[in-house]
Amino acid sequence: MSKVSAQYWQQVKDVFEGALQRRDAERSEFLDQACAGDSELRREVESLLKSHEEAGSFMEVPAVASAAESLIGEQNKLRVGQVVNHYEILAAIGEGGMGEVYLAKDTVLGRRVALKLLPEYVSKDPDRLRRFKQEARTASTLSHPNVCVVHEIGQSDDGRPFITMEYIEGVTLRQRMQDRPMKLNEAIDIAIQIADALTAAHEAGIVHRDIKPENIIIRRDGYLKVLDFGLAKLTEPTRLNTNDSMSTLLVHSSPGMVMGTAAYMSPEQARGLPVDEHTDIWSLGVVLYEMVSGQPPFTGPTPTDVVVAIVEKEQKPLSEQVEDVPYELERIVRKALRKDTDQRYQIVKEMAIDLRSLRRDIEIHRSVAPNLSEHDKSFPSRSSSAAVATGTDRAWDTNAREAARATVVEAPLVRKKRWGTFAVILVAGVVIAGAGFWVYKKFSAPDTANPSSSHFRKVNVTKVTTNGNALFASISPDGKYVAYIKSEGGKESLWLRQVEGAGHLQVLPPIEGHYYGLAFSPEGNFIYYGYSETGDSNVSEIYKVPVLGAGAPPVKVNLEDGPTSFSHAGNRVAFVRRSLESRTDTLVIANADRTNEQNLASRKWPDRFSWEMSTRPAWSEDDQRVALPLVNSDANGFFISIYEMRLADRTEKITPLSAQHFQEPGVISLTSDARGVVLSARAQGASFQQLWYLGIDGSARTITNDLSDYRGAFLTADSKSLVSVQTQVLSNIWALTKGEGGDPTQITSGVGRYFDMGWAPDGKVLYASDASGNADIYEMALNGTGVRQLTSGMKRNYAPSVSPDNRFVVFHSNRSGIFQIWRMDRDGSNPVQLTTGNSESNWPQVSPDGKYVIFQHFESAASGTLWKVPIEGGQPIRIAEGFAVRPAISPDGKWLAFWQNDGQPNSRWRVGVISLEDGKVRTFGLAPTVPVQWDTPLRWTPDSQSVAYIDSRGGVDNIWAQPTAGTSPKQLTNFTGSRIFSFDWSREGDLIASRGVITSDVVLISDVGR
Amino acid sequence: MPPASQNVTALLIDWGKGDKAALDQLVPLVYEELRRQAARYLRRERVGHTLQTTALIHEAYLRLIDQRNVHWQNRAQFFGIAAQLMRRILVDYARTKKRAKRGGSDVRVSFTDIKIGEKVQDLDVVALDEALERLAEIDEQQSKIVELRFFSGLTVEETAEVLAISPATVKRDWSVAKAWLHREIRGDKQE
Repeated sequence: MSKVSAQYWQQVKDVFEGALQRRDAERSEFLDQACAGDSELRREVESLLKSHEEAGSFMEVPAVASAAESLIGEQNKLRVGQVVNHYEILAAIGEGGMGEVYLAKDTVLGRRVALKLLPEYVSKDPDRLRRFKQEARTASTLSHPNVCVVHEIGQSDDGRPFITMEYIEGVTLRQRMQDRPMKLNEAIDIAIQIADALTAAHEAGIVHRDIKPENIIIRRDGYLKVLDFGLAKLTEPTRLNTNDSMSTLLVHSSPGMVMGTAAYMSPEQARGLPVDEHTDIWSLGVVLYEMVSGQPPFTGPTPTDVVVAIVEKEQKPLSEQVEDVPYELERIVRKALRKDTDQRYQIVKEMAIDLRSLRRDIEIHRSVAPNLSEHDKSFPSRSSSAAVATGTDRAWDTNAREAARATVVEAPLVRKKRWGTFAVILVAGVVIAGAGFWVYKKFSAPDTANPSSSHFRKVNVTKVTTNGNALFASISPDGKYVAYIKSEGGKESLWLRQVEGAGHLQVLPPIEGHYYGLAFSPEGNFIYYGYSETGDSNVSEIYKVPVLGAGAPPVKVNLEDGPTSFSHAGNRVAFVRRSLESRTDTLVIANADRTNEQNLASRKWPDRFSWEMSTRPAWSEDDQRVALPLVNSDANGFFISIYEMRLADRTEKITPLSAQHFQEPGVISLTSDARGVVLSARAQGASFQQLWYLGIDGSARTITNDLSDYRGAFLTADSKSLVSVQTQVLSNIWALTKGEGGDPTQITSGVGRYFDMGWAPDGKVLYASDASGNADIYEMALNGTGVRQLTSGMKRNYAPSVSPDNRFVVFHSNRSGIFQIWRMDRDGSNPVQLTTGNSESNWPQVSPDGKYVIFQHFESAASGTLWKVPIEGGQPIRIAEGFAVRPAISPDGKWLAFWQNDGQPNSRWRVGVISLEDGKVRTFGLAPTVPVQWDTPLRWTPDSQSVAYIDSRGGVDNIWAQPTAGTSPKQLTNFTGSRIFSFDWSREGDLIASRGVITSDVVLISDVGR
Repeated sequence: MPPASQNVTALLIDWGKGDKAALDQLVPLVYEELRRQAARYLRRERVGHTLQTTALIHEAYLRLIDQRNVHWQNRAQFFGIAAQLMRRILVDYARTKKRAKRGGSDVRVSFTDIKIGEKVQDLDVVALDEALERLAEIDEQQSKIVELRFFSGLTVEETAEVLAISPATVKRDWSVAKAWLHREIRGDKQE
C-alpha cells in the first residue's frame, strides 16, 4: 500500500464512520455525497466497509490468552537425547493439553514407549496421584485389546511427573476424520470398539471422563486403542465437597476462562457435577455424531457457547446433516445424548449391543458403502443404488423404503415434540470473552396450538425457600437455578438454589448494605443485582457476579444500559439505555461488539420501556423486529403495551394490553412468544400486589389471588415457570396497659395485616386491616371485643385519626383514584374528601384543638411535604419547608414531629421536631438500628416530652423515645421478638402496638397447562 | 514492598521524565514479571483452562508498581510497554510455531490435543503483526489501540485511559482498524 497522507486517511475514517451509521439503503447516497466524485476515496471506503462486514469475530478475542503459554512454553520441554530416569527421549511426537508427548526408549526393558509429561501440580497432590496410579494400573490389567496400557507413572529426578505408556503406531481419530470422509460402517465399527473398551473399564469401576477423538488411536490394522483412562480425574478441578453438587459447579469454571475440549463434555461435566459412567456414554455419542456428520453436535464460536449448547440445546438430528441416515443410528445417538442421565443408555454395553445389531443390519443390506462427510453428503440415493440393481441392493432398497415409511410414521411425532420445545425456548447463546456476554431471545410466530392466553392458566406453586426472609429472587433462563437475597440479623446475602436439588449455596456473604433487585443475565451465567451501601435505593448501583465462579468479586456494570439481547444471527444486540439525567429510556441496537449504536426510539419518563433493569428486548425470529413492554401512566396508574419496531423502516407498532391499571408495577417480563407479559403489580384499588398475565388478545388474568404480596415476575426462557417473592404478613394488636407494667396482651387473633392505629377519646381503638381481603377501618374495645367496620366497599382505607371531640375520623383512602385525605363521622357515615390533586396525600393527624388536619403530601414522587387543612374543609396550606413525612402532633399541641431528610442522595433520615409555638426546628439523628423508612410511624409519648419510634437493635423491634430535651433515647418496651408495624398511646397512657411477622419466601410458579 | 516494585516505579517515573535509558532497564523487568505471572497462571489453572484475558497484565502491574508513587501517566506507560511486550512475545511464539510446522516431523503417531484457546484465535498473528506495522505508518494511534485491545486485552475504557483519548474515539478507530487489518490479512492470504 502506498504511503497515505494523514489528511487523506482522516477523510477515509470519517466517511467510513459516517457510512457505518447509515442504513444500507442510504449508504450509497451518502457515499456519493461524501466522496464528491473522489473515486479513489470511494473505492477505499467501500473496500473497508466490505471488509468490516466480512470481519465477523476477527480480533474479537484478545490474543493475550495464548501469550501465557508461549511465555512459559519453553520451560516444559524435553530435548531429543535427554534422559528422564531410565527413558531416553527419541522424538517429540505431539503436544498434549497437559504437556508434551515424546517417543522414548525404555533403557531397562529395551522397548519403545510414549512418554507424556504431566503438569507439575499433579505431583503436589499425592493423594490424587495415588488414586490415579491405582486406576491406571487397574485399567492396564484389563489387558483389553482396545485399552492402551500404562507402564509407569513416575517423577523425573528434577521432580516432573510423567506417565509412560504403550507406544502405538497409528493416527488419532481426529487425524483420521480430517484425512478423508468416513464411511458409515467404519464410523460404527470405531464406535463399537470404543464402546467395548469402555465396557471393560466400566465393569472394573473405571470411568474415562475424557473420551474424544484425540484420545483414540487407530492402528494401521484397524484396531483401535483408547488412551488416558482415568487421566482426566487426575487433572480435573478439585471438588470442594463431593456431597454438594452446587459447590462443584462453582469451582469448575470461572468467567473469562477458556475450557479445553468442551465439545465432548457431558452436560453434567459442563455443570461441574459429579460424573459416572454416563459421562463416557455421552462423549461416545458425541464422537459417533461427529464421525457421521463431520462435526460435533454442539458447537459455537467459543467454548462457553459450546458449553451452553451442551447444557441447553438439542442437537440437530443427523438426518438434517447427512442424507439417508439409518433411523436406528439416529435413535442410538439420541439415546446417548440424552441430557438427563436417567434417560441415557444406562450401561455402555447396551449401546455396544445396539451398535452391533445396526452394523449387522447394514452389512446385510448394503453393497455400496455410503460416504459420510460434510464435503460429500450425498449418500448414494435410492435411485442410484437401485440402478446397480443387485439382489442385495433391492433388499436394501426395500429396507430403506420400509425405514423411510417408518420414519414418515414417526417423524411427525418426533418433530412435533421437538418443536414443542424449540418454539418456546429462548435460545440462549453466550460468549464469555472480555466484556461480551450475549444472548438472544427468540419469539416465535403466533402458534395457533398455543395461544397466548394459555400462559399460567393453571399453575403449581412451590416454595423455593422456607425461612421467611427472602427479599428478592430471580430464576435462570433455563429454569435450573433460583437466585435470591435473604436478610438475616439485619444483614443481606445472595444465595443460589438448584431448583431440582436440595442445596442452597451462598454466592455473596452477609453484608450491611442493601440489595435492590436481582436478575440473571440472559444466558444464565451472571447474576445482576442492584446494591446500595446506605440503603438508599436511589443511589443503588448495579453489579454482576458470575454464577459459575466461586469467590469471584462482583463487578460494577454500567447503570445506564440494561441487559442486551442478541439477534438470532448473533451480529446485533438490542438493549434499553436509561438516562437518569434526561430521564429517558432509549431502545438501542448496535453491532455485536457494541459499535455502530443506533437509537431506535425513546420514551421520556414516566413512560418507560419495560420497568426494571432486568427487562430486555426480544428479537423476532427473522431478526426483523425488536419488541419490549412499554409502560405508560395516567392518574389511575400504570398500564402496559407491547412495543414493537420493524427495523427495516423503523415503524413502530404499539399493541395496548388490557386497560387494567396498576400501582407499583414490579418486573414486567415478556413471554417468549411476545404475545403477552407477566408482572407483579397491585391492580388499581386492590390491597395486594399479585401476579398478572396480560395478553395481546386483551386478556388480563391474575395468576395468583390471595392475601399476600408478590414481588417480581421472572420468567424462564420457555415461559413455563416464573419466580416471585411472596410476602405474607401475620400481625395482631397487642396492648400494654399503663401501670400494670407486666406482659403485653394480644387482643386480636386474626390472620392478616393490622396497620395503622389510633385511639378514640371514648377509649376505643381504631385500626386499619386487610384481614378480610380489603383494607378497611375498624374499631374495637381494648379487650378485642365489639369489632365494628367503619368503611367498606370503598377501595383501600388506612391511618385513622380521631378528632378530640370524637366527632370525626380522618384517614387516607384511594376511593377517588389516588390516595387523598378523607373525613367521616365517627360512626363511618358522611365521608368527605378533604384534599384533591394529582399526587398523593397521606397520614392525617387531627390537631389537639380539633380544628386542623395535618398530613403529608407528595408534590412529586420524590418529595414529601407537610400541609394542613381545616377539618371542616378548605384550602390546604403548607406548614413546613423541606422534605418531611409522617407527621405526629404532640398531645399538648405544642410540637410536630416528622421524618426528615434533606433530599440529597445518601442523606440519612432524622427525626425532626418543630415547635408549633415559635416555629423552631430541631433534628435528632437516631441509631442506625432504627429502620428509618418513611413508612414507619412516629408518635409522641403521653407526656409530650419525647418522640417515639421503632428501633430494631438486636433484630427485635422495640419502641424507643427521643426526648426533645436532647438527652439520650430510652427504650420503652421489652418485646423479645416480632416486628412492630404501628403503635399509639391513649391519653391515659395505655399503649397499643400492631406486632407480627412478615414472611417472605421465594415461590416457583409453574404453568401446568389448561 | 518488594525491591522490584520500587525499582520499576522509579524507572517508570524516570522514563516519564524523559530518561530514555530507563526504558531499556524497564523492559526486561516487566517481561520477567509477565513471564512469572503467566507461569503462575498456567500452574494454578487446571488443564484446559487458559488464563483470564486481562488479568495477567493487571496483576503484573499491581505487583510491579508502587501505586502510591505512580501518576496515571505512568500507569498508562506501563500498559503501553506491557502491550508491546505481549505483542512481541506472541509474534515470536507464532513465528517459532510456523517454523516448526514447516520443518514438520513425519512421526505418524500423534497425541495432539486440540486446544480450543488456539482454535478460537484462528488468526495469523505474524501476518497481523506485519499488517500492524503498515497501519502504524498510516495511523500510529490506531496501531496502539490494536496493540492494547488485541494483544493486551484491555477494554475500550482502559484503552481510552491509557491513550488519554475518549472511549468513543477508541471504538471508532478500533472499528476502522479492524476493517483495515482484516482486509490486509485477507489480501495476504489471497496473494
